[in-house]
Amino acid sequence: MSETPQVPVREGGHYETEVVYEVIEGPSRRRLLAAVLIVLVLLLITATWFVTTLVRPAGLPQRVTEGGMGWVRSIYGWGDTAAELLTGPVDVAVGPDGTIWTVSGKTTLVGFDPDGTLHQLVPFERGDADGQVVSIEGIDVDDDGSIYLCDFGKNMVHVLSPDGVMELSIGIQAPTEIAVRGNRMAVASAFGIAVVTTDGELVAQWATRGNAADQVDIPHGIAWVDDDTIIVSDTHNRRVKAYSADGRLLYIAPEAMDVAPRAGVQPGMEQSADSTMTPYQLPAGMTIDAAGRAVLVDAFEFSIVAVDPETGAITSEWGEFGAEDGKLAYPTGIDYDAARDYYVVADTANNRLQIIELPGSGGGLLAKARRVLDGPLWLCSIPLLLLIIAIVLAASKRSRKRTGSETVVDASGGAQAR
Amino acid sequence: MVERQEQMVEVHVDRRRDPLEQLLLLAILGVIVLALIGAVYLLVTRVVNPPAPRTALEAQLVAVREATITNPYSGEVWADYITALIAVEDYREAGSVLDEAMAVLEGDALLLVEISGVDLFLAQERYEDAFELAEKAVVLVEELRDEVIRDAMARGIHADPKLYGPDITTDVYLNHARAAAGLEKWAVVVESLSTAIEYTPRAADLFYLRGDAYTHLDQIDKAIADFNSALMFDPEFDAARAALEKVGER
Repeated sequence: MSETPQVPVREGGHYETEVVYEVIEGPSRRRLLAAVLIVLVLLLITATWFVTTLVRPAGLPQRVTEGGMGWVRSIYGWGDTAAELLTGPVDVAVGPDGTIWTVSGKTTLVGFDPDGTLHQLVPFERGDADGQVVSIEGIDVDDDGSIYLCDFGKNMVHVLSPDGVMELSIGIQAPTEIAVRGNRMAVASAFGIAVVTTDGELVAQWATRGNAADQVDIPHGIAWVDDDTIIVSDTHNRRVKAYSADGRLLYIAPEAMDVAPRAGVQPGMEQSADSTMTPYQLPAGMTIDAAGRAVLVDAFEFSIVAVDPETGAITSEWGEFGAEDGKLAYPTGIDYDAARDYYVVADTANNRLQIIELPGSGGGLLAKARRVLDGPLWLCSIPLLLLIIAIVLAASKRSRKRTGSETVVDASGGAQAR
Repeated sequence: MVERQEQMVEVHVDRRRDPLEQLLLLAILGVIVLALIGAVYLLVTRVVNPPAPRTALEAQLVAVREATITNPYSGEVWADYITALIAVEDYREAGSVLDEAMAVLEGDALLLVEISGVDLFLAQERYEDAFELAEKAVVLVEELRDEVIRDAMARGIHADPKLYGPDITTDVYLNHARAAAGLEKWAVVVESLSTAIEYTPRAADLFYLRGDAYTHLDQIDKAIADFNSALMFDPEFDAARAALEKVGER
């Protein structure tokens, strides 16, 4: 049905008119489009629910457990045979692209995408020859994606390219854990601490094995707090220590005065945390989160502990023992993914990695959104989000058109427009 | 006036598509394309249906499934496999495995699988099937027990029937009772649980379940006695305490 607008005539042969769009079928088409839109939105909501249900297998834990620790997902392996499952992953590191690297069975390097699918598998032969490994205990990834492996059994740190090719091996006695920052790496060894350049040049080295204040006993966690400060899980002494980058001791937590010495301890051994006074059972892997907290796993406490890196004081603790998803059994490694605001825990005795979120991590909204979208839900959530944005834009455009739709058209110009 | 009308003829109608419609059409097309790309991506990367286990239950499933390959004549292994499948709610696969196992196994091993089979049917709320299989299991457990006793007597040994596999026998009668409860055969439930209690006389849950059956049979005194027995063996048994309070109000 055609319609002709009633137009007041201006002096001088000009008309004031309204541009009419698709006047013949406009209203019915808009209704049709609106109906399609509604159906599409409903379909996407249904699909979101369906995918959520589909990707949520039976037996999953409550998303947020007591104490505020949130479970995101677990990673058990890369296939459905026993040989393709993780075996005692001792440590974990998140690369700049979000790849989650871990070591299975001490000799197989495995990378997973944030959604839990296999990224890359790098199996090493066990042995002393070049390119072989004996037993990998620690792992870290630098800003370029290069991978660093602590080969405890071979007394070496191996440097791998981001695609898993071994490029360099640096001799360090019994390395257990490593933290890379810029071109320096802090290496915890069974017998002390070292700072080495990524090319293998020794920068500083300190401490010996023991339980005195200036000693460490097989530390299994190390992290850079900033360019000048290193924090260490002094694992078998059941304490946390901080050093300057050149080895100056900054603090011990718990402090020496808090630690009751055992009967018959030798002189110089008073710092031993071998007492009930220490809050730790076996502090191990450690990372720094976006809030600047040092977050470590306590293998024998089955917990994750947040520590103030300035003082070593414990600020929060989460976790409980169990085999169910969301619980822990002898965790030994942890790393933080700032881009997605989550922590990945090497839940060693449960033979899995667990991705978790913790309150107070300091991650921004963008990181949280990215974490959500890294799951399978992006299939529905992104189109749904775009559709909602389009509807909002369309509505605002329509609103603008209504308020300023009248135009002045010259008589000759009107003929051209036709 | 005539001049004005002639001028009005010059009013034009722009037949371009409404920008609003254009935007909505583009949005719809974009969303459909994105969803299709997403679906293809998910299928290719198997994010939705990954090959690797995602939960502790699925990981356990991988282990027990491989155990059935390495140890195909162990009833325990097959029963574990069926139980693991029930736990992940894969009832169809559990049914296939049950059929496969029952074709392979016999004797004690078969009995274990039959117990798991009853669990499967109960999980599916197929009470008729559960009861039928539970009846078979009762027959089998009695045959096996009699065989053991006959062998013992042939060797001149006095054998107490209750010493034959008390755990497995208890499980058989307990599952028989559960299946009967699904069919609301409360007298059968009481009978089966009484047999189970003979084999395991200090199990709080058996007394609780029998007390529940007595409640359905309106035998309140017996129900109260059973709930009290359950609480005696397990003072922390909240369900028994609640049931006792409930029947006490009647």
